[in-house]
Amino acid sequence: MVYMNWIIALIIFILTYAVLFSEKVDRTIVTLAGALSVLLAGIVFGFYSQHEAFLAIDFDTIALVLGMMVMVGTVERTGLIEYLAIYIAKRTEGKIWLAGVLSGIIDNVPLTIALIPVIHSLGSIHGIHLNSYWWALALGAVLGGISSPVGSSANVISVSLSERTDTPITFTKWIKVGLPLTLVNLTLASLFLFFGMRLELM
Amino acid sequence: MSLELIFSTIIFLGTYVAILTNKVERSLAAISGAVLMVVTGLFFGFYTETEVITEAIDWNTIGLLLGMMMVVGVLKDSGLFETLAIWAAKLARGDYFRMILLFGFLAAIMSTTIDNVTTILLVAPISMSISAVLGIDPKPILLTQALFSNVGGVATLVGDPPNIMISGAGNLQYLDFIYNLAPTVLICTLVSVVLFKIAFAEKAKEENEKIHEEALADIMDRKATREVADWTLLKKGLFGLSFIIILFVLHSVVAITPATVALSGATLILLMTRPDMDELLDRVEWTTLLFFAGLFVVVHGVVNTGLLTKISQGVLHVTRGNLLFSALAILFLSALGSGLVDNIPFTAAMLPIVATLSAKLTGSSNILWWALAFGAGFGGNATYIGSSANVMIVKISEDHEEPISMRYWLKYGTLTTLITTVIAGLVITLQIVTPVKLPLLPY
Repeated sequence: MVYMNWIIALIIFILTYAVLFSEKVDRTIVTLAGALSVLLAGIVFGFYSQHEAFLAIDFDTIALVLGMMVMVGTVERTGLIEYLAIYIAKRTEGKIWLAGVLSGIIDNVPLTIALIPVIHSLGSIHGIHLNSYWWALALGAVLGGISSPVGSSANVISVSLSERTDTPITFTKWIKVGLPLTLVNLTLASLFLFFGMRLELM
Repeated sequence: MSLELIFSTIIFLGTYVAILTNKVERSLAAISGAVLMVVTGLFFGFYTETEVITEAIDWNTIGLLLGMMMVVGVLKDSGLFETLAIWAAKLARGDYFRMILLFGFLAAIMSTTIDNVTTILLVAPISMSISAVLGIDPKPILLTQALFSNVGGVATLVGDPPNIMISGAGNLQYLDFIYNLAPTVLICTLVSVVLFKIAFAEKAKEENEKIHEEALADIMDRKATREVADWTLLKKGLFGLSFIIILFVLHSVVAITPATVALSGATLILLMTRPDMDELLDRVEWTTLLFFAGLFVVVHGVVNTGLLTKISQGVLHVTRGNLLFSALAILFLSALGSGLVDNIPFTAAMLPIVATLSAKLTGSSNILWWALAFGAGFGGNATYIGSSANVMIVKISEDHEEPISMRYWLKYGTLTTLITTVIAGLVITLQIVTPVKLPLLPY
């Protein structure tokens, strides 16, 4: 019986992702459909309840993203975003280092949300092809996230897991490994962007 | 009195004053109150962060609202509401008071089987289009819908969330509710009709003069089905909606909670119609959802510090030992309480008290449970934050630039609460002091 529950949940899981990757149906609709199917199956077979389903949602992330979006939405009206955009508009490489440094300090999900409007306004200033800017943001946010234990949610989880063992990863220990790694990676990524742009790979 | 009780009470009252005076936007007021309450609670130790998600917020209400808002959002494009509006205008033959009654009764009847908020979300758009077509004031029509849906919901086990909670705590069945509550609800509805006839007499006369002969003649000639903009969309939407309503009605047989039902139905419709999701999600009233979430968090704070329990125990202390006084105290206290607070958390606070009293005073009779059901249900009409349906109606009226103010609501809502509660009080008194016992019909 337990195996049957597994199989049902697994089938819905795989199906949801298959449809998601096929990009035939709107993302929101697919995930909603997957969520409700597994919930209904769970209610029928007794492995899931509505209350559990609501508790399964990661409200920490949602509240964080919601708060950041409200903040960014407010800041956007002040013109700070345009100021930042002009400030770093000249060089794509400037962008990658900004994102890289900032995302070492704060979690990269809210950082990315905050920088998205910057790129949008870059577009309206230059009227240029924005692809390389998006790559710069993505690479900078991800690579910068390596540098400190609070740079990304994955780091936070790894650190808290290590604290349960005899050899916990301390802040300085992380920086010693993470920072050089980030610097090397960011340099490589900058080169990649620099040549990629000129060779029109992106 | 402990410090935590004082602080939580101040935050609670402050939030309500901000909401009632309309100085701060409703959802902002509720969210600010919620944040203050949780931070204070963390400091004094009467609130934990996990509790906000696991206990304070009633996800069933939020999920139900979200699902139904999406369904209505899709159906809006089909022309369904315009079609029904024309049909309703024809049925009322263009008479203003008849329209008020038509929508009032429709809301009351629907509320006995499906959730009040769902009722409002389905009926209110129809009355908005009819008002737009005829150029009449929609406020009295909207108000009546909310008031009648709250009254109608009291009649059955599934009509109102407090009744579902009472059935669990008092071990009462579907038919118990119908026999004990429905006759009184019917009397209350009819008395309310008379009340509204008097209250809106002048208004109806005025509005009837506003309706142009030509506009009315045009509507009487128009075929309602011609308003349908997209038949395929309509058929798919109605298929999903009937799925939802059937599962709502079968609620006591199929143990699937309302939020799951509404969200499943909404997803079904989305899969069939594939609308532009960004556009559809813009139609969801996020501010209303945030408002409810915030309010739940605030109220849970005073539940935790024991404010609600203290008040109800205090009142019942005075009446202890006398069944009649206790029953009337429960009735009026819960009417007052659920007028000020959403009736779900208030009922939750009253359940253990009523259970204790019921065991002590009544033996086999369930009269105290019925007093609670009447009070929690009818009390919701008193203010516009007394029930979720009211909040929705006010929000809809604001979106259409015909805002129902708190003062306007209090004028009619409080009167309705007062009269229906007094009628319920009379019925309860009659049953306690005379040998007349409901159910009048054997079953």
